[in-house]
Amino acid sequence: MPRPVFLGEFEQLVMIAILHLDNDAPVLAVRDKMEEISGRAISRTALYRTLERITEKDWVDWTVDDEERPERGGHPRRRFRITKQGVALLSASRKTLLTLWAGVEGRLR
Amino acid sequence: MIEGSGAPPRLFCRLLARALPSDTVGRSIHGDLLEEFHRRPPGWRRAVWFMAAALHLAGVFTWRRLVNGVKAILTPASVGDDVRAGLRLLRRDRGTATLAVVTLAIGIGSVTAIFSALYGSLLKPLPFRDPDALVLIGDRDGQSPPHVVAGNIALANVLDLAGVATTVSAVVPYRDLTLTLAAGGVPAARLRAQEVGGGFFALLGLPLLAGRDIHRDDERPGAPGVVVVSEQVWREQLGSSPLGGTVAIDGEPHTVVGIAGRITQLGRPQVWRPLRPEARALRRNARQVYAIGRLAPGASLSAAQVELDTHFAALRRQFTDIAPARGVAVMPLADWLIGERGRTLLWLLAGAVALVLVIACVNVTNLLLVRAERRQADFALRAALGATHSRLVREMTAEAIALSLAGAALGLVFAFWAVRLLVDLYGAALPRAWEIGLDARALAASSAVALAVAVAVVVIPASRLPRAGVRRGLPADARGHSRTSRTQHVLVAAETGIAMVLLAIAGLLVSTVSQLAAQDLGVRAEGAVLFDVSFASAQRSPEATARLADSLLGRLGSLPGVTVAAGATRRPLFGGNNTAFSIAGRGDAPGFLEIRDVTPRYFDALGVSLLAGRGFRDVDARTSGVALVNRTFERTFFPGASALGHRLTLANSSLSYEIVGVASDMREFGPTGEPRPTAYFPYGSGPYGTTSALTMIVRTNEGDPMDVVPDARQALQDLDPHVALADPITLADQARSRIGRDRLAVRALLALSGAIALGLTAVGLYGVTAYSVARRTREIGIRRALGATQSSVVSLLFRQGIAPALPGLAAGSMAALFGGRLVESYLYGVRPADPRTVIAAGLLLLAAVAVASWIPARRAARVEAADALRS
Repeated sequence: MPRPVFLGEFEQLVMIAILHLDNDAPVLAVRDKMEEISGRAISRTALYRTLERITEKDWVDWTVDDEERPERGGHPRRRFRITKQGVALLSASRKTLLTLWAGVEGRLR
Repeated sequence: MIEGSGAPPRLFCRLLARALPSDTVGRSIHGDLLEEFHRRPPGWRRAVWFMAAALHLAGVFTWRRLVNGVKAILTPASVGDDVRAGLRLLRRDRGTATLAVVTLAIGIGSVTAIFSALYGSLLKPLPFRDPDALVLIGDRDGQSPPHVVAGNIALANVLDLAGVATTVSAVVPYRDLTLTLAAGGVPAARLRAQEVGGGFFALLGLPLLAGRDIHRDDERPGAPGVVVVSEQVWREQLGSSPLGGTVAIDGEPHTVVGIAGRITQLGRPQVWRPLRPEARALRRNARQVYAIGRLAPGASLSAAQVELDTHFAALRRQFTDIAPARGVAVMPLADWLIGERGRTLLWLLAGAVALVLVIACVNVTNLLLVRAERRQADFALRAALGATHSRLVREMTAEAIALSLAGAALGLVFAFWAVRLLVDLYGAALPRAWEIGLDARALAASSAVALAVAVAVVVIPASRLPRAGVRRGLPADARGHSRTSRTQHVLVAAETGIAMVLLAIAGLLVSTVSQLAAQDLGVRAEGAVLFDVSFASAQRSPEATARLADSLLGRLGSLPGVTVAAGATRRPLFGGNNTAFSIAGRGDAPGFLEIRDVTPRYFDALGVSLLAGRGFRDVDARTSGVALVNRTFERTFFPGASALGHRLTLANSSLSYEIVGVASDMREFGPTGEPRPTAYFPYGSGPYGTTSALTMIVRTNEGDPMDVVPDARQALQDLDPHVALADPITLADQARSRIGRDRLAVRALLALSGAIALGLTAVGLYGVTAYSVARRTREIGIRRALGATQSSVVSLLFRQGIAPALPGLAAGSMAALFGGRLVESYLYGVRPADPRTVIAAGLLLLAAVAVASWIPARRAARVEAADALRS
């Protein structure tokens, strides 16, 4: 049996933010969404590092925006989306969480 | 990018561009930050925000790149590849490689040798138990700072202090002396010895190889004589006989109770015996012993000093014969053993070799720079074919490491010899010289230096390697050349400056030593030899001792080749023994007087002339009451008059001596010490009586005076097999030793550093000129074709070649004027900022760099125009 893969909290946050943005999001939008969801400031370098890591793991991938944007000084803009593998992982992770919480949710009230 | 007042700060944009990877990811991150910038409201806050964010990102990515780079370098496979590539490159260019390796060997070897000396002398812990707690207690004179022991202290005072002190525990007094040891059939030997208090070895924490420590009971008057011998003495003098045997020490029987291991400290004593009862005479004002103690747990050095000061003040109130200037000082034993001058000497040398190493690094950097320049096209091609920048850097680093490790290996051989030479020639000037040697630490140090050197020499050339995607070097790029030569010029200027400082300082010491050597010591130094004898024996009466000394002088005088033999109670040119005195008919005590008892032909043997009156006669030895004085005595106490016929009386004595002659001055305290008022008395009837220890002076008329020593030894053996001859030295060597071995050592080693610096600088400049000339072959051809004469081309190339050295020479000269202060304490007869020395050093260096740049210039100018243009 393959070892189960667990998503870290920050990784989940990144991927859920991308999903919120119709699974096609530039980095700045991802960060805004993450801050909105979590209610805290998100470190730029932590976000880039996590994006790099989960890209390497094939949980997300990116394409380059064709649109010319003068405010970017001619630099490309990446748009991220969750891969199939990433979606499967997210759903497994959600299921695990729900299982964990089953029956005890009432105690929190 | 949007221009105008709302643009992000350019400098930080550039910084970001350099720090981020140049691929899409990196550029998109850059874009994200710019986009975010434009989303924010304009104003200075936005600019500040951008700067902070850019700095943060740049920092994080630079650090990541560094960590990844190190990881990549440390992959075993890639290290192997790089080393192979580096070696291949070196094999292709053997000339450069050899030059670089030899240069580095000199640099690294010198550093390794001096490191070994520094470690053995200064840094290595003393071989005692808990050495940091050991302190030396001794006399402190009025002027000396606290924690500096000025000399011996009275035994009675030390014992009293030890009895009450709480900050210092286990105080054991000791004193150095030489003793004659005779045992069985082996010839008697003069040995370095110590008389020590009970518990000496236990205090130091030195376990004995066999037997027991010296006990306090052994010090009691009337206790049987016991002795501890070193392992070497036990083997060589006692024939490894069992403990409990009896040996004769200065003629008295002693039982061997212990065998000690080798002690390389405290004057390397070979024999220890209890402090003799006569040394325990309660003379409060005498200088008799040092004492070693151990700081009590938790006590500091200053607390100990304060406590001993308090107790000493009480002693002074109690015993009025303690001179007011006397005090007590306590200092770390390690500081005492190392000494200030030895420490300065070593740090000075360390500085000099560090500069030599810098010059060697500069040269190798220049060599690699030239190679990198030559291979620019090759690098560019490889970069175009996909070699990453870090790959090229790694290769170059591997090459530099290979070079410097080879340099270090060769340098170790060099260091091995250098260390032996250093200890052989200048051991006397170096603290703990017997502990200096190459060991695993030196090996580690030299490897570390080699790696540091590899990094140092590769930084500049590596920064010139092409980066991926940047087309440089294809085709040959003029800008690259001018940048390279500018860097080379700066490097040449730097090494010339350093060499200039080293040469000037070496020059100061060379002229110091020649000034000192030229100083007349007042003796005829050639053709005489000195050695010590001791007739000490319990069974011998003073008359018998005097007869023995007489017979010995007679025998020595009749040896073949010997013209005069004489004896004295003090070795000539070896400092002095002084005492207070008074002159009859004058109430006041005029001061101190150097005193020596000498045999009649003393002045003949030394070549000192008699200026007035008469010399000693044989009869003076038996009829007390005459003295000779030196010129300085007469000038000081009888200015403008004759001292003849006056009488002088020494302190603590009722005898008076009539001055019957005046001898010329000797500089007993060396070339830098002025002659002091001195009185000579006939051996036998002078203040020392028939002392048993004499220095013999034997003058010969042909050959090496040392040749007479074996015959003298035989003559002594024939007279009494229990008497040994010790420490023979020619009078000339004795005179030279007064120049100061540390001075000679500094001179020789700095002169060597200076010479190496000079050579390396010349080689460095030669390399740079040769390279720049080779690069300009076409230009030279064109000049020649257009009618330039050979000599005008030589002069042009020569001027351009020597130009980079000139700023270095100027800056070095300025630095040298200040640098002289570093060696001020070693100078004599020359100022630290001596313009003549600086000018001489400058001319020497200029000549060397001129030759180094003239040779390639002339070779290049010989090329025919047509050949040059075709090349």
